Amino acid sequence: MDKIIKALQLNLIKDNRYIYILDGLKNTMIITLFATILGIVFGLIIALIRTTYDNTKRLKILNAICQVYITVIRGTPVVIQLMILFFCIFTSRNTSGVMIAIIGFGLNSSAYVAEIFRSGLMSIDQGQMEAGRSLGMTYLDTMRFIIVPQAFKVVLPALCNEFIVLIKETSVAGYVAVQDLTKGGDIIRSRTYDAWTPLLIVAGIYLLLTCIFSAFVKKLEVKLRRNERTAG
Amino acid sequence: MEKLLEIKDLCKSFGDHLVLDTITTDIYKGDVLCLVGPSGGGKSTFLRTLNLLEVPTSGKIYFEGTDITDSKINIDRIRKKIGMVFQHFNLFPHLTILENMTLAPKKVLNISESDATNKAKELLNRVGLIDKKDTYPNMLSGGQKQRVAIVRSLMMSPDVMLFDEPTSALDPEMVGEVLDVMKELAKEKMTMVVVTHEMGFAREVANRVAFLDEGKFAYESSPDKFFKNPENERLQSFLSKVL
Repeated sequence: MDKIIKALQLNLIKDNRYIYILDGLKNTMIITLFATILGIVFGLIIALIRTTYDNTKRLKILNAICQVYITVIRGTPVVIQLMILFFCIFTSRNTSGVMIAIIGFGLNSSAYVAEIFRSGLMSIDQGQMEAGRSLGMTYLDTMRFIIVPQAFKVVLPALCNEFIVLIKETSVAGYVAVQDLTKGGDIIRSRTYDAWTPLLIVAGIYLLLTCIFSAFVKKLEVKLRRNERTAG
Repeated sequence: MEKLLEIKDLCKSFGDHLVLDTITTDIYKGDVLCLVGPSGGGKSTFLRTLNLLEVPTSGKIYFEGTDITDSKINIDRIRKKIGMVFQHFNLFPHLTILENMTLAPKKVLNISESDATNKAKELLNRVGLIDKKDTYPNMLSGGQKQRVAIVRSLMMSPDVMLFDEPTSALDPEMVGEVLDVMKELAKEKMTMVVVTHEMGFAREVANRVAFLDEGKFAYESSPDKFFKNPENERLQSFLSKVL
């Protein structure tokens, strides 16, 4: 017991080392949150292009671009994508690492989110589109006011899961000089030469975060299902 | 009488399968045209080509003199004048009954929220569903849903209404309430094209009944003659099975 308290004191209290953890946690949350938003916006656009092509055979070129994009993004490691952004594209060191991480993880996530949205859009009965169009609404208006809102409800749990996955994936942000939660633990380890304590603390925090959001997703799923039931 | 729809040599195939085989007919203002026939005969496909939900393989369709099969035409401007009611209602499940009805008028006709709401309430009153205005479609019975679907189409003040087996998905005791709304419409001289298996409705309300078989208007006449002594063997055998 004494040993544990001593280890915690050394790794967290001494020289205010817990600041590394808190700062790291803050960066991890910022990156995850904004990357998720970017991923959802981009993912929805890609999904709409792909679905429009599937339904109407229009937007052929854009669809081809999207397919290549999804293949490349999903077929290469996210850490390589990050490093390409950091070392090859945004070579000016004025760009903050956090910003690059948001762009990198956001683009990466968009490829997965696109496929989630696409499955949601495809799951909506064809009759909904026909009903909207037969009332004289344009394809885009029908998508916007009728199809997408319904699809969004279908994919909401999957989207939240994507968010949870992203929390953990951001742990490689240290590769591009971002001081995230993992990197924070790393720094402490390099100061104290204690590997166990900082790594377990960091792992514990990730676990806590994902558990909180998983519980949230579960609640959401139950709530969505309840709406369906009372709705008939 | 004024021609509303002019159909010329209309053909539609799905792959190798010819579903509509060179159909030519006119639909006049105030017509109530019922389409009956065996399944696979092309009734629904014919109806769905009239607002281009199915694009014809060849042939022309003129609506109020405009060739709607012309690829340069803005089909949305035509469709707002052609109401359609589906077998499975296709109400928007995420919107209330009122929102279901006001969405398209607001977006397509640029009618103000309050005008659209007033019109919707008036129509809901007429079909006896005003108390359902703030509920969601899934709270309604099949018959109620279909009545909402009908007045949702009427919100656009269409010149013609297309009905695609409007009562086929309903429990038997709900068929009457939907047919009653359609009879009301016919009385108000709405032009209607109705794909149906309700022979009673066809006999009572239609002024023309057509038998679609193998993609053709195999027989067409007034309802009286159609049901009493049709001069078509396949129709006779069809009627003997369904009546």
